[in-house]
Amino acid sequence: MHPLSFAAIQKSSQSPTGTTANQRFSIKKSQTSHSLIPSSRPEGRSTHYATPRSLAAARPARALTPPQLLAAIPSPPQQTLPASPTLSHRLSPPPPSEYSRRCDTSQAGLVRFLLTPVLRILRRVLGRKRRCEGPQRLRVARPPYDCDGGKGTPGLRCLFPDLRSAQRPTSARRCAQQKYILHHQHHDASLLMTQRATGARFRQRKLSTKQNLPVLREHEVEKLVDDDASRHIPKVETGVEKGEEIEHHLQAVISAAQAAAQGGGKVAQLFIPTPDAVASKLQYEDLYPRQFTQPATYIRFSSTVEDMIGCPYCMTSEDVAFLKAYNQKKGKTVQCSESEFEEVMNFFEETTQTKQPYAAVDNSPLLSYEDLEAEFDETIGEPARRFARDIYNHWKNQRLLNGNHSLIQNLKFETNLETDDADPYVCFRRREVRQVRKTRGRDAQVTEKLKKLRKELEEARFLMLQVKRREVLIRDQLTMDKTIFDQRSAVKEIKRKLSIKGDDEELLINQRPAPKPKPRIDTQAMQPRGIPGMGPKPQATRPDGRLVDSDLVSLEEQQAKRSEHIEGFIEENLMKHQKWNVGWVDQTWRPITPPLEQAVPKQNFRTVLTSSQLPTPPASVSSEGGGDPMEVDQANKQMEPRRSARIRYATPPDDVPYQDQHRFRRRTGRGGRVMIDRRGVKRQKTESVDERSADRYKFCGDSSEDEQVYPVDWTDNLHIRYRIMIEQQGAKQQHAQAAAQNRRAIENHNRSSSGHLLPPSVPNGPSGSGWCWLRSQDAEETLEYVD
Amino acid sequence: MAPRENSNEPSGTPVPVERGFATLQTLSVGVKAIVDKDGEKRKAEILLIQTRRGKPTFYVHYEEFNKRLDEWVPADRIDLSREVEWPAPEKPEKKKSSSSQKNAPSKSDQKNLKRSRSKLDREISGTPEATNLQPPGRASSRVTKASGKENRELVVTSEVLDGATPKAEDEELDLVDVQDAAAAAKAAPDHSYSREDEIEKLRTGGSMTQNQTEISRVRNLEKIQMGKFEVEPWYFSPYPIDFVDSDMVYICEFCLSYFGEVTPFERHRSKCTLLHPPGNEIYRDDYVSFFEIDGRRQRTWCRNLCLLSKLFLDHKTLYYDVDPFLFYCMATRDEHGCHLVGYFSKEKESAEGYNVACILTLPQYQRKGFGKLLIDFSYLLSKRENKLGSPEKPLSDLGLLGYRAYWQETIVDLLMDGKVEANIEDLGATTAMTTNDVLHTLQNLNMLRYSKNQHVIVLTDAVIEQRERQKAKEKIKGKRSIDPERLIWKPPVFSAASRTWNW
Repeated sequence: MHPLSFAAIQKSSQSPTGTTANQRFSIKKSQTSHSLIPSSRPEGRSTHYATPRSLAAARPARALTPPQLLAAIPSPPQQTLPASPTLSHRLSPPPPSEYSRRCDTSQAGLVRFLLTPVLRILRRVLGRKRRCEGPQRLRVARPPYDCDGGKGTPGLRCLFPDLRSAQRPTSARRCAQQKYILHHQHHDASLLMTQRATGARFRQRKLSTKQNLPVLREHEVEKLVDDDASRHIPKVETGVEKGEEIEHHLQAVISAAQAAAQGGGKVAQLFIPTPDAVASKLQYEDLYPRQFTQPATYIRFSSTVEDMIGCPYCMTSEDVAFLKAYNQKKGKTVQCSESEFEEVMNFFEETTQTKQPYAAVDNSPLLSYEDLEAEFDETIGEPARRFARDIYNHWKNQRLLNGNHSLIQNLKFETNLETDDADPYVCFRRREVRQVRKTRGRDAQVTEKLKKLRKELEEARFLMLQVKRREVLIRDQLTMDKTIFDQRSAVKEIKRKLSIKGDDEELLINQRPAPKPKPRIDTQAMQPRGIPGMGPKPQATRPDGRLVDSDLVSLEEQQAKRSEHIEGFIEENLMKHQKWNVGWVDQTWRPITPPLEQAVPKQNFRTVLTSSQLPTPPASVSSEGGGDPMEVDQANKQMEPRRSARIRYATPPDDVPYQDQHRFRRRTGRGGRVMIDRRGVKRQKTESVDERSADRYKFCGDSSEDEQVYPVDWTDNLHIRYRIMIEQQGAKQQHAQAAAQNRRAIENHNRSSSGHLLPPSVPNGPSGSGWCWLRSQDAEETLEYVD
Repeated sequence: MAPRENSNEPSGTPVPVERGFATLQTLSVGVKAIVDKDGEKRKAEILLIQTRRGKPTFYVHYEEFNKRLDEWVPADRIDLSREVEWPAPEKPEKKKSSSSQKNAPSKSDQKNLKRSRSKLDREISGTPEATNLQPPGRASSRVTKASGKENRELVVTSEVLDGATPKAEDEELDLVDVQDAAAAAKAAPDHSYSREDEIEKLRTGGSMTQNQTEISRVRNLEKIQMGKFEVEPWYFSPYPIDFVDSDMVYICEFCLSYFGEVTPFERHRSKCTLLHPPGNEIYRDDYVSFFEIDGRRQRTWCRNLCLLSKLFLDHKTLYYDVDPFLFYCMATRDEHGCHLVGYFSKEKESAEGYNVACILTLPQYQRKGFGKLLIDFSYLLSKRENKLGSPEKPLSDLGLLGYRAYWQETIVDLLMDGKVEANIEDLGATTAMTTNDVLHTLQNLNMLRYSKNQHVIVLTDAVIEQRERQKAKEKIKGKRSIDPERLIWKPPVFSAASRTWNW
């Protein structure tokens, strides 16, 4: 409980009677939770406090562990005195009406105690009702010292499980409302006190960080007598180590700040004392020249310190003295500069570091100058090397003075010794890389990678080697060429001197003179042996190995020869082929392939239209789907120039009766065949079909003149099957006829130019079927005119 | 080893302390005597005794004072007329008795010490994990065993703290510059970690800080010269061991290289061509520039920086390398170059959500408001990353004050914006502060109250008045702040390989 509220209550203390017992009871209750019944009864009014319901009302807001609980409850003898007034105050007689009611409740409580199991249900009902009785409940708020203690009474809760619900915030709020009503009704100081004390007792809601909290100014908030309110907000750690939190100066500053916040008064400005920083005596301007110009854009920079500081070795005062003396001894011309000196020293240091990393530890002797000289590399420049030997002695001395430690002060890094861990000077250790789990797969993978890497390296190396060899060879060749040239010019000189006249040229040309062209090899003779179609290979070289270009074979000649050769070859093969086919009938196409039509001479076609107009082809789906509506024209391309002039698309004249109108329909059949249907067209006599061409198919195939002609769709399944059957039969017949046929003329009328048999043609002439008539077929156009 | 802890006599645990009078001759390491400090008598522990010019001098740590105030005192400042406290008998042999040299104790000694201490620590340790290990019966035996010196059981009386919870800070405190270091230590370090624990934590945690048990307790450098200033170091830093003999260590202002003598330093200056921190400038205003430096790419420079900052940060660790950190360095510009003023380091990927690992304004630039800029900038980066951030713990004393001042200013400004309602998480989201830090601030300022059955945020008169005063001051002095518009920066993304610490 809070001392402040406590004190407030004390002030209004009235009668101490009866409270001690009650108090004792409640303490007892918190300690031994089951001894309620006997101890709660004796005192008249105080029983009221002891009723479980009241206890429930007083259920603490904060959970406390038993030890805390005990601590929260003051020991009885001490408690008696201060606590009793409080209680007595609460016992102060209420207004009569209320009083009677309260008595009722208290009696009910008693009964309940006795008949707990029986009246459980009744109790619930009552309890709910009673919870609404604000003022009384206010009065029965538990004693202040018990503020944190009630929770630790499991026994109580066992007896009255619904006690829990009695302490819901809702009821608390309701009570609070009542409290305010009360407050307005009686402006009684003591009541006020009660109310505040009780107000603080009610459980606060937990602070929610997600909820919006009102922001108020100080005057808008009621002055709280106790700052108890904030106790439910968890204290946040300062984050300073506990050991340091109590440090004098920090505490001083914190409390000063606190005082300032609370009192609002001026407090001495405190700060934590720190050791001083003072201006240096060094000449800053000399050491740090003004050379920085700020770029307009933000600086982007990635060079490292090592890139920027030049030679890492910096001369000490001893070095300066040595160098001065050294330079005095030397002549004016060979002065060793500071940077050269540092270069040498740095080289010595670094070489020693790499060659004897543990020089300081294992007492190894200093490297001799010769050892160091052997290590000279690009880190030490030519000019500096001149002084290396002289500087060596100085370096050696310094090094010995330093116990063979490095002259450059280095940080202590880990050496993987056990002492590392404890040494505060060892810093910047590596962190362990997390171990990757080892599996066979990973092993194999790694091996593969290594192998591949190795292979690639080898290859690269080999390539480089070859390149090098080539370059060496080229170089050798060049020198040879030069020697040759020199020799020749020498020869020339000599010749001139000796006035030998003759062909100078051959001496100057770096190759043998072109030999006289040999008689040309007869390429024709070689041809038959060449690969058919390829022709003879162009001869790149002569038999003697020299280039042919000196023969100067003209391109035209060669080309003509070649094309001639190719043509001859084709001709020859054609002949051969024809010879092979003599006396044979090729039937391989028959069963399935649609007949390959012979190119029918144009006159076989009758002109589609002469004078009448072609109507606009109706936009039938099939024709649209088939593509270009002008497909007819496309297909008839060969006849185009003539025909297009005659065919015009136009609507037929209206005055012609429907029956008499000529109608044309173009459609696309299977396999892309284009068909044009027509109606109402009177056939004209085809004068152009002369006797000869009409007779053409007279004797071809097995058809006879009197055969009935049926409309046929060649691609129809039925027909295909039928044809196959016919063919099979025909084949048998043909076998019989074969001898006769063979005997017959070799000249085969039925053959197309490609040597295939033509399909059995349908003879010309109107059919009896009337409306459908397969008139003629054109090999190229596959047109079917259906009447 | 933590001298300052010794100071707290645990009130609850009666540790028998042997008292008695001492003479100069009998004074030894570990003795606590009354020493005259600026005219005030304070109890101080002797950490090291050295003979200088024939006279003994004592390196003492004052109780309840920060380690940075440890100093060498001549014998006449020790008040021998009063009783001294003797260290527990078994301790001195463990202590480094090599008082003749200032160097770190010999390795074997340290090793022994370490072992014994870690054992002890395990018993003492109050961390959850350690408590589990600790058999309940051992605690009491430990108390008797532990001397005042090793006893790390601090009675951190939260009563004291709670009672002293500051309502507000004086505005002067904003100017106290931030200097803080933090370890991945969690909230309850009223004990010390054992060394093994600590190293293990460093190994796994990627932290840059370390516990105080880690490092030598005696400052090893006398003075450093840097730029235009001579600065007195505050703590130990593992500069080359030869430097302990130097009166002054010279540090190049730009590349932060270090030299034990002035001649090499001057030679170096004639060669050094660096004029600004070696990274990309990501922010520039009229006053300062910020450079982002990757510890992995600029290993030397970052190491140098860490060595330097260790001089002023107690909890910083240099145990591991700088690879997993980014360093954000603040510099002022003039014709000489960009002068490093302060920096903060940040883990490339922080598991705990820290946005700052170590943060420091160099002592020569402290109390000028740079700390606030640094903190502001760190939160600006967090805002850019859409993350909430908090500095790594523990904070140092100066760090705490600096952060509190910043938090107060930020939150009060936000609340005084005529808001009727505020939500703690939203406050955090707008400022990139963690909810905990917002709560901390509100509580500290006594702004979180309970009224009319609900929690309310109260803008107390004290807080408002303080803010008004501060604003008035800013008007006169001019306000320095970070302008988010000028930050040209995208949160860097690191592959798993570059983020970790492989070489």
